Amino acid sequence: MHPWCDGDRGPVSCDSGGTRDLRAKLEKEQRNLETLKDKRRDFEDKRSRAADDGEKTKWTMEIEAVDRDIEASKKRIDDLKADLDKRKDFVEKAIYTLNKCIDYRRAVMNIFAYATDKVRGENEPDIKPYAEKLRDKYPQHISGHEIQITSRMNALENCKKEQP
Amino acid sequence: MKHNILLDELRAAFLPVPIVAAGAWEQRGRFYCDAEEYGREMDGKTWEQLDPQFFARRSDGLSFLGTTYIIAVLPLYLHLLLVLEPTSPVRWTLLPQLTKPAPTDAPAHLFEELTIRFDELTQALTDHQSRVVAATLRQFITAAPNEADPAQRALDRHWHAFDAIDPPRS
Repeated sequence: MHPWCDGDRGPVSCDSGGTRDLRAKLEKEQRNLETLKDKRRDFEDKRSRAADDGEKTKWTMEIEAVDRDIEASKKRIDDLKADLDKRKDFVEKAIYTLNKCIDYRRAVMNIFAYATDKVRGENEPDIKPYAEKLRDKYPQHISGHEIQITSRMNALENCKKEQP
Repeated sequence: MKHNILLDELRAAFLPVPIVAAGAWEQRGRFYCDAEEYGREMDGKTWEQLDPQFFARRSDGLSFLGTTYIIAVLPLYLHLLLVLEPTSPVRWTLLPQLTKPAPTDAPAHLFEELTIRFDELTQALTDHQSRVVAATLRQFITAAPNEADPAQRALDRHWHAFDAIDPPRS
């Protein structure tokens, strides 16, 4: 159970809003790129209608500057897409790990439930007092596992919301 | 690890008393798989001497400790909530523990048991300690707004009544 629940085998938690923030950044950059492309088209139009060489040179320089901005924007978009891919990978790993953790925790809980069940009808005088003690205290002692399972299921739901 | 601006308040509210681990699991931890190791790590140490790495990894122990022992390690977990990344497993165990149960909370069949646990815990804390818990929750919300919901729920349901922290002692 431990390697799956402690984070040794993979992430066991996802930061809330991480995917949304990345996606918002990407969408913002994509809008920025469209704006730059519009700007370039506008400058090209102005250059084609330039009255003299001086004006033509001015618009050519403006276009070159926008081209540099467009390249930088494309690079940022590629980087953000790569980050989003990494995020997707991270979230999928966390979901897998958490599911395993929950399965193992349930298995552990069921072992205790099974053992308690086994002593339910115990009548051996030597064992009976211990069996009764175990049975009577069962609800509050097993609840720790149920609380932990709920906690991990909440973490799992949180990760599911973070799937890109 | 990040800096905890409430560390002095934690120290003032939770005194450095060595923990006696014997009996830690009698109330609700007989089925805890790591009781022995957890107890060994805890025994004879004050909360500030506990190994933060170990107790962060074994934060599930909080669901199995008796109330007295939860209070003994609570300052460490409050500290870890603020110094570790907000996604650490500590958050997933500690915040539900500090949230007054509602009948609609999952798992619904544990409502009564969880209410007993919560009431025992909150009744055993001093006002000063409760104020530090409230301040820690507020600090967590400020530092990790994306993760704020469960801490805010805990505040709204109980700890908001403990708003102000005593001024630092001179």
